[in-house]
Amino acid sequence: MAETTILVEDVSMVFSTRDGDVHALDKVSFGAREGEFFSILGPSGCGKSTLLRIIGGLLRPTDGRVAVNGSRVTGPTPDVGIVFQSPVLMNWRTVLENVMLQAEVRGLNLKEYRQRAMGLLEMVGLAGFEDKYPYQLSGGMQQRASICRALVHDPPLLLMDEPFGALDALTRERMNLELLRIWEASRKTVLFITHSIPEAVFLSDRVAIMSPRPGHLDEIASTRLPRPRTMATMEEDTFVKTVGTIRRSLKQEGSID
Amino acid sequence: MRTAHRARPGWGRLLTAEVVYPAVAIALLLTVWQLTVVMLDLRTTFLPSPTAAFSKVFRSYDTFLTHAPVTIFEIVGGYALSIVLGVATAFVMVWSRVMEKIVSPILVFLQTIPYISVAPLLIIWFGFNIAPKIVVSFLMSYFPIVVATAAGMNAVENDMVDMVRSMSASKWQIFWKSRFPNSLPYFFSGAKVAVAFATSGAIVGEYVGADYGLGYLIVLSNSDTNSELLFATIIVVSAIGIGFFWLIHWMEKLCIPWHVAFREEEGHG
Amino acid sequence: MAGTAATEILFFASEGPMARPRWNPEIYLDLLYPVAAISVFLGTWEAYVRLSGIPNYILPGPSEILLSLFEYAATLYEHSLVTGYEVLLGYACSIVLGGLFAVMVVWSSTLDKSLMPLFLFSQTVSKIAVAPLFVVWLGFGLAPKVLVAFLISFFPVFISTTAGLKSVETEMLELIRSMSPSTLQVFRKVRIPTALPHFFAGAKVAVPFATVGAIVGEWMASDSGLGYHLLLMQGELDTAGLFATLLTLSFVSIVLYVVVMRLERLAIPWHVSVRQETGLNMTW
Repeated sequence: MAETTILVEDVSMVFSTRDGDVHALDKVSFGAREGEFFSILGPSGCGKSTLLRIIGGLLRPTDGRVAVNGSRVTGPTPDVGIVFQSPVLMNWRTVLENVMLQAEVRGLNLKEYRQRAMGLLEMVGLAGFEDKYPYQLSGGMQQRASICRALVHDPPLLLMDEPFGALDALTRERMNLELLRIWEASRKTVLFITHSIPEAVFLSDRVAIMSPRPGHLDEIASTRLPRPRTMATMEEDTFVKTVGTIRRSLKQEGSID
Repeated sequence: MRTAHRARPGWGRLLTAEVVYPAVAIALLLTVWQLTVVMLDLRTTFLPSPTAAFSKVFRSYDTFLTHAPVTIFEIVGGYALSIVLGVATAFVMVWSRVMEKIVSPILVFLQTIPYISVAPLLIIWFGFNIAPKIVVSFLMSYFPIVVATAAGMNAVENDMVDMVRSMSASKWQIFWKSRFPNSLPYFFSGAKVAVAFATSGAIVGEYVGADYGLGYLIVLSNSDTNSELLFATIIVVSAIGIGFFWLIHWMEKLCIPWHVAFREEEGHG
Repeated sequence: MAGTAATEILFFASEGPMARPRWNPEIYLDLLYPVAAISVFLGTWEAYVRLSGIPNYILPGPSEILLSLFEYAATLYEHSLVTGYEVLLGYACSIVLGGLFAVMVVWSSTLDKSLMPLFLFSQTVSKIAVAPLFVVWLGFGLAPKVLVAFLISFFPVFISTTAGLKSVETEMLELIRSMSPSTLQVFRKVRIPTALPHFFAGAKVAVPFATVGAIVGEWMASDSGLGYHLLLMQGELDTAGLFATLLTLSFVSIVLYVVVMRLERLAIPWHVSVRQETGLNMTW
C-alpha cells in the first residue's frame, strides 16, 4: 500500500465579503496516494481551485486539516510544483529564465538546475526556444514552459489548476498525452483540477466529483483503465462507460442541467 | 502614433506616419508663421519670425550658456529627487497595508494641489538660490512617479504572486522577482510625464525669484519686451525638455526591451 | 491643512464601491488612518513651532495659519472668485475643445494625420514658458489667464479622450458595422461610451493643471486673484497668510476635482474605476 501524499480532512472555507459570508467549501475530505494521478472534477464555482490553493498552502482553510507528505500544511507547501490555468510566465524573462525562477527563489544550485531545466524543455518539445520571450510562443508552448517550471526542482507533488482550460480542443488533447508521458516517466503524485469529464477520466487513476454552493465532495470514482493510455483509450468501452457514469452522477447533483 | 501599429505597416509606411507627416505639418506651421510676420510686417516686439527666433538662439549663445546649465541642474536635481523618493513611496505603500491605508488617501488629496503655488513660500525659506527651484521641480514631478510606480507594483496578477509564493518565496523575493520588474513599464511612463513637469517646475521656480536660469531670462525678456530673446528662450527650454524626454525614452528601451512597446514583430502574434 | 477635514470626508465618502451602503462604518474606519496620520503631523508641527521659537515669518504653526485664514476670509473669498472664474473658464474650454478635437481626429483620418503632429509638437513647447507671451499679446485682463489655464489643461483631456475613442475592440466595431450604421451612430453607440472612462481620467488630471495655468497667468501680470495674493503675502513676509492662501487655492482645486469625480459617478456608474475607486486611478 502506497503512502498517502495528500490528506484532506473536513476542510471548510468561508470567505467573508461585503455582501455576507460565502461558503466555498464544506467539510471536504479525501486522500491521494503517492504516485497517484488524482483529479478533482466539478463545474465552475464549486470551490475546486480554492481547494488546490489550500493544499498548496496558499490559502488557510477556515476549518479542517491538510497534510502533505505527512506534515501539516501551515504555509506554502515546500515541495510542490504548481501549474495554473494561465501560464503566468514573466514577460521580462526568457523561457529558460522563467523555468529557472523556481531554482532561484528556492536558492538551489543554479548551474546544476540549469542542466535539468534544459532537459525538461527538451522533453516538452521546447528545445531551441529557451532564449525566446513568452510573447514569442504560442499558448500551448507557454503552458508547456510553465509545466517545466513546476517540475524543475523535482517536487514529489504536482498541483495543476485547469492547466489546459484555456487551450483549444486539439492542443488540449495533445497536451493531455504529453502530460501522461511526463507523468509515466516521473510518477509524481498529481492533483489535477478540471471541469472536463473526459479529460479527468483519461488522465486519472481516481476522480473526485465536486458540487457547488457550498463546494462539497460527492464521490470518488476509480477509472480502472489500463496504462499506458493512448488516443485509443478514449474509444474503449470502459472509458465511455466511466464518462457516462460520472456525467449521470453530476446531473443527479444538479451540477449539469 | 499607436494607430500605426494596427495595420502592421512596413518601414516605409511607418516612416511616413511617424516622420514625414509631422515634419510636413511643422514645416507648414513655420512657413505660415514666417510669411505672416513678413507679409504683415509685424514688429519684432509683437511676434518675431521663426528665423529671427532661431538665429537669436545662436546669436545669444553665450547668454544661454550662462543660464541654461543652472536650469538643467535644477531639473536634474528635482527630477532625481522625485524618482528616488517616488519609487521609495510606492514601495512603502505596496509593502505595508497600513502604510497604504495612510498614504494613499493623503496622496489623492495632495496630488490635486497646484504645487507651483508653493514657490513663493520656498523663496521665503531658501532665498533666491537654486534650492527652491529644485523643490518645486521635485513637487511637480513626484506624484506622477508615485502613482504610476505603485500602480505597476500592484498590477501583478494574483496567480503570479501565488506562483512565486508556491516556491516558498520570502516577501522580499516576491517583491523583487515579480512586483518590481512588473512595475518598470509603468514607472517609465510616469517618468516620461514627470520629466516635463520637472522642467515646468524649475522654470516657474525661477519666475518667482531668481538671478539666473532660463525662467529668469523669460521674465527678464518679457519685462524688456524683448520678444526675440523670449522666443529664443522658449526654443531652448523646449529643446531641453525634448532632450530629457528622449533620454528617458532611450533608458526605457534599454531597461525593458521585453515590453510590448519595443517588441520586434515576429513569431506568434 | 487644518481647514480640510470637511473636504476629506466629502472625498472619501465618494471613494467606496457603488454597492456599499452610504453609512457603512468601514468608510470611517478607513478614514481613521489618514486622519490619525495628519493629526500627528499637525500636532508635531505645532509643538515644534511653539517649543523651538522659530520666527513665524519662517514657519507659522497650524493654529496661526487657521487664525490667518479667518482673518483674511473676506479677502481670500474675493480673490478665489477671480481665480475660480479663470480656472473654470480655462477648464471648460479644455473639456469642450479637448473632447471636440478628439472626436474630430478619430472621425477623420485626414484630420488625424494633419492635426495630431501639431498637437504632439505643441506638447514639446513648455506652456509655462510661453505664458509671458500672452501678456504681451492679450494684456492684463482675464484673457491671458484663461488662455494659459486652457493650454495647460487641454492636452490631458484631448489625448486620453482620443485614446478612449480609439480603444474600441475590433470585434465590437465589426459588430456595429454589420448593422450598417452611420458614422454618427458608431460614435454614439460604441465609441463615446467606450471613451467616457478615459475622458474622465483625463478630465481629473486636467484639474490641477488648469489651476496651475491660472496662477502662472496671474503671476505674469495681475492685481487680483489667489496667485496675486500669494506674491503679495510673500512680499510682506506674511507666511501665515501665504499658507492660508495656499490652502484656499488647494481648496478651489479640490472642489473642482470632487465635482468632476461626482459627475463621473453619475455618467459611468458601470465602470471599474467608479465601482472600486482606489483614488490613485490617474491614467498617464
